[in-house]
Amino acid sequence: MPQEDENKFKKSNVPAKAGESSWLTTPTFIRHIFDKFPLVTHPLNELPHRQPIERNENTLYIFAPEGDAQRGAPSFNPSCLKWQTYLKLAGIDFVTVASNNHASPTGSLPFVIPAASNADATILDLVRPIPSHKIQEWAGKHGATSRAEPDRTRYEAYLSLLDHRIRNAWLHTLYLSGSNFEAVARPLYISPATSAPPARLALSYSLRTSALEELTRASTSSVIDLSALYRESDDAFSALSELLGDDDWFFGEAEPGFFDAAVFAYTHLLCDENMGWKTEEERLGRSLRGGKWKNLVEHERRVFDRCYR
Amino acid sequence: MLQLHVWGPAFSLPSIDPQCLAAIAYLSQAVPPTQWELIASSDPTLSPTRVLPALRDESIWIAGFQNIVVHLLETSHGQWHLDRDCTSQDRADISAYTSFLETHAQPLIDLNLYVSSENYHASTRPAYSHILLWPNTWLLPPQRRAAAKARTDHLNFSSLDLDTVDQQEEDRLQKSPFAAGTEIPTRLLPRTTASLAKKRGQHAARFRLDRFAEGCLEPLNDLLKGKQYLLSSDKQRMTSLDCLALGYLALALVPAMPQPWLANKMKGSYPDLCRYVDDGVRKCFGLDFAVVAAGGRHQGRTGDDTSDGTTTTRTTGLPWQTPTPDTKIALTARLLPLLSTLPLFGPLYRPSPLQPSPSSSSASPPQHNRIPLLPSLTLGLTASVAAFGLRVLWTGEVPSFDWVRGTRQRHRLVLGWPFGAGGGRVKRLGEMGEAGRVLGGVRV
Repeated sequence: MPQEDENKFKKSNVPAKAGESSWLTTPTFIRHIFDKFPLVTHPLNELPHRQPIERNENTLYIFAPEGDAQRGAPSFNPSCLKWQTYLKLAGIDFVTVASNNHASPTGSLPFVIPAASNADATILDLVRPIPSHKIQEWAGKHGATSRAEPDRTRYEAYLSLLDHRIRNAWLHTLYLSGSNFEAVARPLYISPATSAPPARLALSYSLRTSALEELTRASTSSVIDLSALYRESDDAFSALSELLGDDDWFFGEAEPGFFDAAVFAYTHLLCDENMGWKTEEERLGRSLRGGKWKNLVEHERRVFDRCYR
Repeated sequence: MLQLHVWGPAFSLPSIDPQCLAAIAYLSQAVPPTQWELIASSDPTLSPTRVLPALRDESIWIAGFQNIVVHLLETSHGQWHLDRDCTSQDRADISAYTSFLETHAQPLIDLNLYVSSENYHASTRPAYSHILLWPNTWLLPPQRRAAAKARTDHLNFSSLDLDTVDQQEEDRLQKSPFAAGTEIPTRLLPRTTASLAKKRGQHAARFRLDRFAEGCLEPLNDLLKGKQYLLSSDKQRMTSLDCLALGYLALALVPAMPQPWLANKMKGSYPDLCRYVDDGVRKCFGLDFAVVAAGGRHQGRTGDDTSDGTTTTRTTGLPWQTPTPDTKIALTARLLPLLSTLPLFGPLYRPSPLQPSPSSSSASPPQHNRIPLLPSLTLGLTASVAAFGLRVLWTGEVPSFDWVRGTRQRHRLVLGWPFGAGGGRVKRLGEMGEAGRVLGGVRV
């Protein structure tokens, strides 16, 4: 071998000595070395077993325990539950897969990977994932019984009650009140994600700081007024209860729609006994469970029966 | 006597802040003028949640528009409550649209007054310097602008803010020394191209801004639908929702801005809303006013603000009162929050943002939740280092300890304090060549 290398070296040096090319050209012996790469080419890795090989079904990625997701049980995250319920109400066939934020292209769940258009498609025929803010549009195009959203005067205003008033109180209840974070959020969001104590610590810290950040950003003050936060969330439930009245579905519709799903996402989780709320610190759902707004609880039952029974 | 503390007047409106405008409108309609005073203190540290408007009722402070409405309802047993005759359907609408305004109209005001750099530098910032006292003139406007940017960050309208676009552009230029697609180094290109590109970005944002403004104004216009007020056509029935809407919409319509996209949008597409704002401004704030703001400077449209800065001219029916003159203690109290802006120790001093029920705290200024231990340590340390430095300069000697011999030594400082123990130093300066002789000569 060394003999051979030496020969190569001598040969490669010949042109340089002759001065035909400059020192900038790669010497031949180095080129020979690089010709040997790659040394070994490994076969392609197998896909992970839990990766669905069948791509002919729409897949909604949500926060849920593994078993629950396979059964299509409701998610424990309000945003995921809203879209899960909406897709069910819209009559779209899909399967749910337990996932977490790191899997999502936008950094947050849920998202949909639509069914591949032809049966022979493999995972390599990448289908563009649909982030949550485009699900409604996507469902409108693909839904068997798609419903256009009502173009109503009050629709936007009442939706803001859910997206801000109730959501802000939810953020505080779940992440920032100590006992509920330990009792509800930790077993749902942190323990399944990792078993390493330092990672759990970091994860719970980042969850709580981002919840606090979102709350302070939403308010015009640098201080969050908790009594006002819960008074406003109670006002929001009262307003929603008034809006629903004696109707079966919101806005007097014959069939439930997106708004019903959005309300159900909170009312269901607040009424669900499996969530394990620490009632003494849980001010958001106390009045709801206490029967202050009976029609909202009945509405929750109706949506549940229709989608998850 | 109730005292309503607000951000000071600007743009010919009695306050620069939408919630303050709403509170002024509410009190002007709900409470008899003899029962309350309006004070343009422009100092958010007065209130327990560090937010204005703040209502002082004897020894209790109530901050924020909604809290004030609830407080007036509870203390007056419904007498000073504008929504007392509302049906439950109306109440639901008030809740929903209040939330809608706070979440959809607030970003519009933020974009219009603060994020858009042209509007901010040409109108908003000068307006603040009329109503604020030193050092708040330098502290609060940038703070409020930063908060507004944070609130509107997710909307992606950063191209309005030419300051950051400048920065981004510079970063890009530093990364690639050549202009895109050419061989000409960018530093040789005419400077105007970069700023033109920025302007173009701003114009592109205009289209999206219009859409965004429609998202907020359209539902309000639908609700108004030719009525006198949002929920009722009865002239006597203004609700708390009308007050809040007036606060936001007046601040969208009235201020004259270099980039008047929001006012133009309202005037062009929603004449009903403009009429509604005009009526409300006339009814609640009056046409003209003059008021002595916290800075003692006049702000207003009337020609009769001839007072010498100590009396209040009332031309509107709004019960303006002059803020109490600043004491040294008050000044110190205002300087205290400066600590929280220090880069390293600020976060430690900053109080926790979560307050259990701050809406009814006592009249004493808000207590910070944490003892500022580290800042005081730092201050002490800095002071001792400074004292040591002064001593060295004064005596011209650096005391040190010779570890080998175990004796104290004093190193003489060559260039020292110019006045102190003089003679020896001058001699030494004289030893330092030409320049030293010149310096030494000055001393002699």
